[in-house]
Amino acid sequence: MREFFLLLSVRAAMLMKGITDTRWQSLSKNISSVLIFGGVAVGTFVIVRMFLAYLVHQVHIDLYTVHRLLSFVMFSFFLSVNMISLLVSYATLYTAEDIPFLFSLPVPHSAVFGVRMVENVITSGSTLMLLGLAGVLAYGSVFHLDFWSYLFIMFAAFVPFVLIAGMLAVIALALLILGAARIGVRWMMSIAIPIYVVVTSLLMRTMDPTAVIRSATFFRGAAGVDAAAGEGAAAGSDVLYWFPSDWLAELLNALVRHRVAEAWGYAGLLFLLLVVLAVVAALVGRRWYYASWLAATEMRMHRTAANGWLRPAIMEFGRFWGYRPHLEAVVKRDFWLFMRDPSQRLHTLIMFFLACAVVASIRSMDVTVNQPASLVLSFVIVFIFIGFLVSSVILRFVFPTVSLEGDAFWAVRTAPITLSRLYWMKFAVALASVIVPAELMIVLSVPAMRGHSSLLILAATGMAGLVVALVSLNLGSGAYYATLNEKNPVKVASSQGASVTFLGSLVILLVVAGIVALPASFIAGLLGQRSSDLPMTLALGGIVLIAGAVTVLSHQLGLRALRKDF
Amino acid sequence: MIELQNVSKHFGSFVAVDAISLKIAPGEFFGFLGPNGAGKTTTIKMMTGLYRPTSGSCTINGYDIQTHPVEAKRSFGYVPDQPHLYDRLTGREFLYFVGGLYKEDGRVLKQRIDHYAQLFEMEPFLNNPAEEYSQGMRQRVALAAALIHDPPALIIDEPLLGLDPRSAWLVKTTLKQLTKKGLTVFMSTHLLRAVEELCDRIVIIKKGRIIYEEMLKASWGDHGQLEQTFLEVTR
Repeated sequence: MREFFLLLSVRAAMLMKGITDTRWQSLSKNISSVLIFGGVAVGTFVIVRMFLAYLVHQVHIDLYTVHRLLSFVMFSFFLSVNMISLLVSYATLYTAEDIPFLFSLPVPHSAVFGVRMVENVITSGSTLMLLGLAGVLAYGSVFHLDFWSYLFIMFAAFVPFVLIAGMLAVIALALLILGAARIGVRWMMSIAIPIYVVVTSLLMRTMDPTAVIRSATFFRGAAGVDAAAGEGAAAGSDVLYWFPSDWLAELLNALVRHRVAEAWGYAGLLFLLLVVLAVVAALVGRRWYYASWLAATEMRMHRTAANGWLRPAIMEFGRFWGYRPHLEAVVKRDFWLFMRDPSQRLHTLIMFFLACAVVASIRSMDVTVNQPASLVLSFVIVFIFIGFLVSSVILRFVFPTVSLEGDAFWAVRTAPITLSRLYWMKFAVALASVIVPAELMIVLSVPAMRGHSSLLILAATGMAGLVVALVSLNLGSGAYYATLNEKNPVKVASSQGASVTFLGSLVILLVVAGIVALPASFIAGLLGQRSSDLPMTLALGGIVLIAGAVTVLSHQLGLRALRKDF
Repeated sequence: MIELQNVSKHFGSFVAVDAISLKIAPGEFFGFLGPNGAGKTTTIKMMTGLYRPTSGSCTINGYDIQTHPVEAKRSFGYVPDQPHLYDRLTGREFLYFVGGLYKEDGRVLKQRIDHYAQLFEMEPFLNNPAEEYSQGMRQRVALAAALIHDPPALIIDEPLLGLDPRSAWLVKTTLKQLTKKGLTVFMSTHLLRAVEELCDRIVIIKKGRIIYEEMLKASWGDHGQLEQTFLEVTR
């Protein structure tokens, strides 16, 4: 235990040194992070509040349905935290460069494991906590909660909820690595990924948000939370009660109805699960961390270069394209560095399966069009869901591209190629790689909104604008927060700068979703005549404006950062 | 060929390089010496465009590295003190990559890679990923990359660091031959024996300032004289 606190104090001192560094560069970075974090928190608050207020006061949807939708949102959030924790934990627990040094010291492995867990919670958790706090404040302001309820939701519900997702990831990771060491990485992945995808899809199907909306009660003419709460109480529930996101939603539902004992019950469930998982994680750390670290190290040493269909002849360095040699050099280098990195291949595979699962889930939804509000809500939720997945893909693969230039960046910086050209090459390659699958997902998903081809055009255009804005933001921000000595793209994509960027991406996503909701409401007949082109024109103009502004600002930021001293 | 005019670099209040002026003629083998932290690598990074000078200018082959970076960079090859390569590319792929950045013709590039692979005895490892390389192997690949576009000038920071005796001999011999053919070499190193053996002229810097300049190789006399001078002037 003494070693644990010693290691923790050293890491805390390092963290504090970074925070309290008064050099201008660090100071400006810290100030800009605070400003961006603050701005994003305010943005999250405003958007969540607007969304909830819209549901309750404009659509007059019943309180029960609001919390069912929240349950769905929290489930998606849980999956994201779980996936991010899985990737971050792999980087911090298994591939971090200081782990071999720590293992060479007379320190129990469980102390190293414990310290890394605490670090993960502090570094990754701070962003989530901020996001959560903004969401809780927005929720509380819509439902007029008192001060103690805010504290209760934050610390008795949200914090345990996030920790549960993180703990599950760490436990699963250790077991996956040990399993892979026994039966091989490919076998393990071919078992684990389909299980993850099937379970996730089944849960998504069970929590089908469009089914929730179809069964919702709309209060025409009845305004205010109290009216909605009264009617909604009769709605009943047929949704699973065994998942933490459900418990969180039920806790909120009970709290706004002043059923305090019931809320405490759900908080108890969350706390109990957290304690159980913490005990299991501690056992895993004690018994299997070192073994799994050894296994992971050995597997990395035996990794082989991409082969077979992963070696297209056109990308071989000895075969020349005869067109723009510097472009060819950069594209080929990036291709091979990507294909030979097992984590990049694995995450591409995971993202591909997730995209398939999302599309399959959306296509299987039964969206009835007789209720305009239902159609608009379904459309916006589908757009946000695909946008969220695309944002994650962009964060994971585009944000680290400048950092991945790495220590070998000297070779490019001293070569006769302008940095702006290099930057634009990266932008073009990233945009082309993301926009095609994103649009494909839209084309495959939106026809589920039967009978409205204009919705497809709207979604496709909105998604194109969103992808341009997000690729620009992530590339620029990735250059600004670049860590050239970090070789692990997973770690880069989960850094503080990446968290800030992701929050910015979510704000852009929600703004674009808000914009496409306007013409969608007209198309569905919720707000007026379907024949009017004005809302569509205004929306497309707005999206172009946002994409253009984000692109210009991000590119300026990124290029300036790229020209910094190496 | 290479000219530095009153070049300074400040990091906050710390002055790493203080108004250095140098002129290196074509075909000259120039030695840039100094104790640890004297500002040698900082100067080289300003010459190669990796650092922006706080004041002054660096000109290579008539082109200012800040105002005409592309033209200036075409005129030199650079080997850093820590020649990091891309771990997941082979040495051969790295050479193709660098050649591509210099827009070298494919056929010529292939010939040059084969030539340097043979010259620096890299054939046994050139097709392996760089993550398997020793410091000496990286150094040789980086040197080949610096020469791949047949530049008129070479800027090298500690080129013999980590090389085994045979590799060091190979590098020295190659550099000697290339300077005879007109290559200008700007070399920073701590290995005084190599300086005595190779350089036509040296400069010693300390705390960012030039404190000693010796023009004639012949005046150094016997082996060991330079070491004595270095110890005296840097005391």
